[in-house]
Amino acid sequence: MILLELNGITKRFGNLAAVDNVDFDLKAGEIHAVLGENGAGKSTLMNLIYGLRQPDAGEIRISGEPTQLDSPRDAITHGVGMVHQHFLLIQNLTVAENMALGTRDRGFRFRRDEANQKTRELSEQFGFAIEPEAYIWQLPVGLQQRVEILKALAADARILILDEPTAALAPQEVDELFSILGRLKADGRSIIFISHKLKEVMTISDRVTVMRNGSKTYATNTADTSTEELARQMMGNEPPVSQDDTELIEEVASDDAALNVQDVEIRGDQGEIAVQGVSLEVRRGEIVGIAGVDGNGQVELAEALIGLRKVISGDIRLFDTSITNKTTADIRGLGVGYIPGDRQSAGLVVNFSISENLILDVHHLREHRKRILLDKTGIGDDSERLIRNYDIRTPSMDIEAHALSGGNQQKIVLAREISRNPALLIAVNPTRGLDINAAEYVHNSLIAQRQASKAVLLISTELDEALALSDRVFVMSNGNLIDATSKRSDMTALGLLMTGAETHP
Amino acid sequence: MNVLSKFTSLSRRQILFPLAILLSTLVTNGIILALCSYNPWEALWVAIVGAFGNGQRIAETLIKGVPFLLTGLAVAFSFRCGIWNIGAEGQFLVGAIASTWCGMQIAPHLPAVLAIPLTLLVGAAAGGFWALIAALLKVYRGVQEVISTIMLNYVAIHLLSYMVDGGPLQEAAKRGPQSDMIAAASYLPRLIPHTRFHLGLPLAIALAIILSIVLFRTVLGYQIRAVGANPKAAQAAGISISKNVILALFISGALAGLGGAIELTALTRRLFLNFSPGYGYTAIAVALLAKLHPLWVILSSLLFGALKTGSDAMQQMAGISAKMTFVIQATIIFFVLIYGVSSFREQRRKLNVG
Repeated sequence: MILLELNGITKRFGNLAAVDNVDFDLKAGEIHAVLGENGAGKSTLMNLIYGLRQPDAGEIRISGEPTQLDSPRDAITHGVGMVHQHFLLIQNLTVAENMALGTRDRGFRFRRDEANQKTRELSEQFGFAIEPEAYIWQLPVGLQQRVEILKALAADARILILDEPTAALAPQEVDELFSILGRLKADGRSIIFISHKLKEVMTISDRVTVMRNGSKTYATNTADTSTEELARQMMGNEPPVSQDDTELIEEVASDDAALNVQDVEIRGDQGEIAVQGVSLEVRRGEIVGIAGVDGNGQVELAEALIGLRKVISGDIRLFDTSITNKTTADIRGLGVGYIPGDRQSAGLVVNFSISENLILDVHHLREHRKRILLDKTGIGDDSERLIRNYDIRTPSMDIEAHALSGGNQQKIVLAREISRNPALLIAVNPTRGLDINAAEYVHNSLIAQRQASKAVLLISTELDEALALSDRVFVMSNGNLIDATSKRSDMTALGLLMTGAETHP
Repeated sequence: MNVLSKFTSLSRRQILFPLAILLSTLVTNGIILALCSYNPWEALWVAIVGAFGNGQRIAETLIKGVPFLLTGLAVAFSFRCGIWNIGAEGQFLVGAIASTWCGMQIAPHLPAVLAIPLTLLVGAAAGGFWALIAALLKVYRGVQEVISTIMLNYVAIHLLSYMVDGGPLQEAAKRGPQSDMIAAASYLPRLIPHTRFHLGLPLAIALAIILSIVLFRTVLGYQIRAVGANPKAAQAAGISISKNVILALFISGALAGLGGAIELTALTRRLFLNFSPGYGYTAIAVALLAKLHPLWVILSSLLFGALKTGSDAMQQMAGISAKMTFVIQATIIFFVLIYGVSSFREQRRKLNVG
């Protein structure tokens, strides 16, 4: 029996079709995996099913009935439940209290015993082993996730959407999650399992749908496919934009390493080891690309290189100078430029003017001062020049940065970082969220750096981008860096590396 | 064209909104007064005459604004750096305490030309160091400055009460909870005969101008604003957050401390219990109303000064009880804050676009 059916669903954001004419169906009592890279449209599709967004075209049928889902509340009423990647739990309330928040029958008085009892019953029914009176903050991540699942079950969800449910779990927690999913399936409930981890999809799902660039590219019974095939479908068959048709192929790399990273270990925000013993060399005149799915330690590595994060062990050298755990100002002073992954939160002060943003890193230098005052005229002239040279489209340099488009905002960051002529430029997802023209502008700027015999480290979740621009390509997975240069034309192998299905080259 | 339309739409909002606020303030207070069987028209008239009726009253209004001005500048400066310094009250008091000590112990041995600046500087330094405690706790221990500065207010209030009530600064005669007069050499000069108008106001206005130059034209100000507007981006560009937090809080505390020193050396000339009727707290309203701009703080502090003299007059001339004038003051501050905070939130919203 088909429980959920999507026909020709399309969702546009501006000119971009985030979900493009997608058909999808979910049977009662099955686990259907949706696979795809970041930005493939998985999350948008799920938001449509959960009523967070409404499709521009196409229809959604639940149990055969055409259904309009205007809000998550609508979706819940129709038996759709969602477990978000980032849990929506209140840390300093108990499990039962969190459960009660989701229910409809809110009286004035909170009946604690009743809530505890309900939670206990539900938990036992599915073998969850959750103590209703435990506080959320006391629970490990795996159990918190079960509370989220329980919340959906309490609302009697027959369709359960799990968004990257294994992203934060330890291996044995993953096993436990899978046995729970098995029990839910046996109970006749259906699960949409969103992931980019091939091995897990092969293990747990009955069917799998692959999305790429907003379209459904492949759908099959899991039993009829292989990890290799899925990887190929996920990455696409077309060869990456070839280097041959640009002048890029001309070898300009010299032998001296601009950046030399030796065996560094770096902690993430939660105190976990985010980067484990990574070594890397970037030479003058080359672009080194690090591809990988978000959250595998790339950002931590970049932050350590620019001095925003401490290194626990290991050594980072810029030419012959150690820059390990130096301050950001010192490292920049030695000739390192940095394009952060999120231009609005880390690249720009969005309510500073363009010209103020253009001097964020150098405002303190003597050339920008007249005695103790900032040299407004000089800074203005520089800004005019940068706005012209980097084609920042703005009526004036005094406009605040938030008023500009994403592409123009990124050009401010580029202008600032590249015009300093850095010996090493670190760029993290420099084209994220940009349209094609703006992205191409960024790409050409990076290539120009390379041609000028500068070193560029490009960290990107877009595999195509990393492949097209880089002289050498690495894949980062689980805090490890794997040299993938020899596999650059083998999308299947790259896919396996990126999804952690294979950890050794 | 574009600029013009932007300008006009802005100014329409900037005119209508304050007018609406003014009107609702008057109506609300009128109702309150009428309900308590006072004549609201008489009260309003008396308040206006009390604040601006003659030269002497205007002078009084102006000098009543001085402590608001300095504590307001203190709050605005730290808020610009994204630091919620709620401790201007404590810094103001500690500044006054230190100045009293200086004015009694050191000033008598100095000529006025040295004694005055020294007494003021000691007060400013004391306020700065008081705020520095919160800054260091924040930078090295991650203690929220909102909590620590409030706590330090209590410490300062009790420190003051110890000092003048049995402590080392209590008057020699030990009659009440106050100090002896400080040395005449450290009196801040009064400028206009027959009024209490003193050098503090021009001094504070000059400081407001200097501060706005510092904030908008110097490296330090640029860094402080960058850290306040987006610490992450500032850090990624190589600006030290710790350094700027420490500096901004020190300067902020010093301004509030100087406020205490000026109030002491120019007006009261002795320290006593309840030295501040809550200047440091009202300062938050002063700063928000001024949209954290030092030059606007001048105007908003004078408004609060007028409020003070106006309500004093209501008490003395219209027989309205002191408690009642507090109610009216609070209502006015409340409405003013609706204006100030809503425009402040507009700024924050702009800031959080990302």
